[in-house]
Amino acid sequence: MQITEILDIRGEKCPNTFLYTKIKLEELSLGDGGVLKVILDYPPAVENISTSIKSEKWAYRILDVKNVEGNTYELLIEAPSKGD
Amino acid sequence: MTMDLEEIKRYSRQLVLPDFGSVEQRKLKEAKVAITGAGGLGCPVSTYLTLAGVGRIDLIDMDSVDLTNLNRQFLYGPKDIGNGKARRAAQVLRNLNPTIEINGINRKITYENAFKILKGYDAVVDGTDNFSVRYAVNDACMVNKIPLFHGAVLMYEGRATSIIPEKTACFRCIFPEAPPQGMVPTCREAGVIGSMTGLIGSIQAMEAVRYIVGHKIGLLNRLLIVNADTMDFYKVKIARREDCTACGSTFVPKPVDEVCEIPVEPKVKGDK
Repeated sequence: MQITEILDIRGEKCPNTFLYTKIKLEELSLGDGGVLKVILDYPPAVENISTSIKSEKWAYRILDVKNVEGNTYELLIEAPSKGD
Repeated sequence: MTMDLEEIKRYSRQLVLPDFGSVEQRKLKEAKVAITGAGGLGCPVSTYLTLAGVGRIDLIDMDSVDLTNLNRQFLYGPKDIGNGKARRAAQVLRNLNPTIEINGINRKITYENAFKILKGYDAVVDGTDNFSVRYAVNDACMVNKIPLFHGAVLMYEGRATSIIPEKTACFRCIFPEAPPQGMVPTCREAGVIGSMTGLIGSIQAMEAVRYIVGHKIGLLNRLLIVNADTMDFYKVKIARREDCTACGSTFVPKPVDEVCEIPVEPKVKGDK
């Protein structure tokens, strides 16, 4: 799978984890869309991000959630292009 | 479109709202808003628009701070008594959010100059306290096609409505003529308390922000009446009048005389 951009927010907690993810997803959607890889190490944020992006205006989609090691997770989120 | 990290953090609590993001923040940043009056309503309105990140705010008022203002006009303190409100308010607001442009304009709005002064804005929020200026602001906004966010407070009653020229009822559609002199108690006789102006001003600011970012707003063709005696909130349906002299097919200038003339306070010892 082609990853358009990587967002490393290790060290951040909620709600900043969601905030930075949301802003980055919006940037992608305002362009051509794509897949964002989010790297984080605050486990509650995995659930929070997944839930929160459902109520956003563009239809973001969680493609994959992976616990890479310890508290570190990688999320793959698809951002549709605004025009789609 | 990119926001810097400071902006992202400053506005983070609104950016995480489901229907609010960098696009909406950008719209606020690009907006130019005038606030008429830096008093009881002007203080909460200007404060919340400043904090929300409206890019340019012009605060228009020619009054000076008086001791009697301090129960509700929270941008001023005792040291400001005697000084112009608009400039002082702008100073305080700049301190709250140095990333936007805030201008304090020391000027009296009249029926003659309102059409010139209120031009080129994306929105006007009305915080004036008398009919003469209120009608001037309404008519100028209708002629210049500027959305107007109206609010008024008298004793424990407050009102607010949001007006989109040529689409929704304007202030003159609801009240074509000012009430005759003597019908309305003067502001001083009637009295006003800070939490009430704060409440109505916050509602005006919320409507203005939502309008600017493109969200649905609740006070179009509706007059909100808040009664703090009972804490009842009513929304009264209002409608455009085809024959409205301000927003109807033919504009007819109709200046309104000052109804609420407050006698000049005698100088109190200790006042500046």
